[in-house]
Amino acid sequence: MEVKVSDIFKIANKVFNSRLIVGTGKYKSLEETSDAVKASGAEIVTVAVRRVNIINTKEPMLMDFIDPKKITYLPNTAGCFNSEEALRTLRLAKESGGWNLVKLEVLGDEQTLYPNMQETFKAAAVLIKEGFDVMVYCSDDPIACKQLEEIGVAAVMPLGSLIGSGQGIPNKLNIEIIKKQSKIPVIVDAGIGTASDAVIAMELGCDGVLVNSAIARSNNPTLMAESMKHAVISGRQCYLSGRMNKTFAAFPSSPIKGNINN
Amino acid sequence: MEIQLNGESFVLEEDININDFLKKLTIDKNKVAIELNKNVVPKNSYSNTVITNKDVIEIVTFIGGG
Repeated sequence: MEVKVSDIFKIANKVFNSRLIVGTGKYKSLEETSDAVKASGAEIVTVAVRRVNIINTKEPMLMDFIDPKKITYLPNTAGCFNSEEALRTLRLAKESGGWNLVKLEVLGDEQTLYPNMQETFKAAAVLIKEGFDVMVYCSDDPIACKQLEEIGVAAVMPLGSLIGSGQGIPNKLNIEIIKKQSKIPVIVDAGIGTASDAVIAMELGCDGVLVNSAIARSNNPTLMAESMKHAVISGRQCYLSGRMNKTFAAFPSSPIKGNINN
Repeated sequence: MEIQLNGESFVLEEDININDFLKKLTIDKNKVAIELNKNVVPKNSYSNTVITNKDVIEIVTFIGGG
């Protein structure tokens, strides 16, 4: 499906065709990860920064399976619980590949993996000063999103629901408010459990969605990745079309005139 | 001499620059980033940055993540 030329998706002055960002965690193998990314049509994938296996340096690496020259790597700060840890991680990520575009996520606790917004703001301000383009995992709080936009983040990524929960978007209203007020891209991050959740996010007008567990934890990740690709396109096209008004009364779809029984 | 490498103790015979150290470990420098005593080492400084006794080194790469 070709995306209309007028409907380009831009983050930090980079143009993308696909509005689906996929995570690369939780897959059974690097082959499966690579197949799912291909099937999803995603042009941006999130990645984590972790210690190299010193014992076995011949172990295959993600970069052997997903070429960072073809797919934009979006390094995250998963597992960071304060701004210092997040800054340390992203400074290393930048040196690793020369990436400026990063996903900041500073977690509040291990039970909910909810963002710690105070530490998120602190880290975001420093990163922006250091020249990073920062996409921010954040709470679905319109005020927090507005404030992030004001300090100069590249995109806000409010959670639909808890990371890895597959609970979808229980608070659609907040996401809609955030989208309506934002001049920067709004990407629903976390909580997408199935294709219809991605459609809903896009129907609300969001600029994109980030999906990981819903694909990796399905029985057939490659097929689910393709399903998410279609869901995002479908939801986007629906949003651009503008849905019909809802009514309480029924209106027949077939003309009454010419009915042989009348 | 003894250094801390990725959180574990690691013994080295003598001072060595980062470029040679990566070769010794058979690690492709294009796929990693290095932190020496909490400071990121730019890739173009690997050959003139020498690892010395008690240094704390982290070698990281990108892995799957959400």
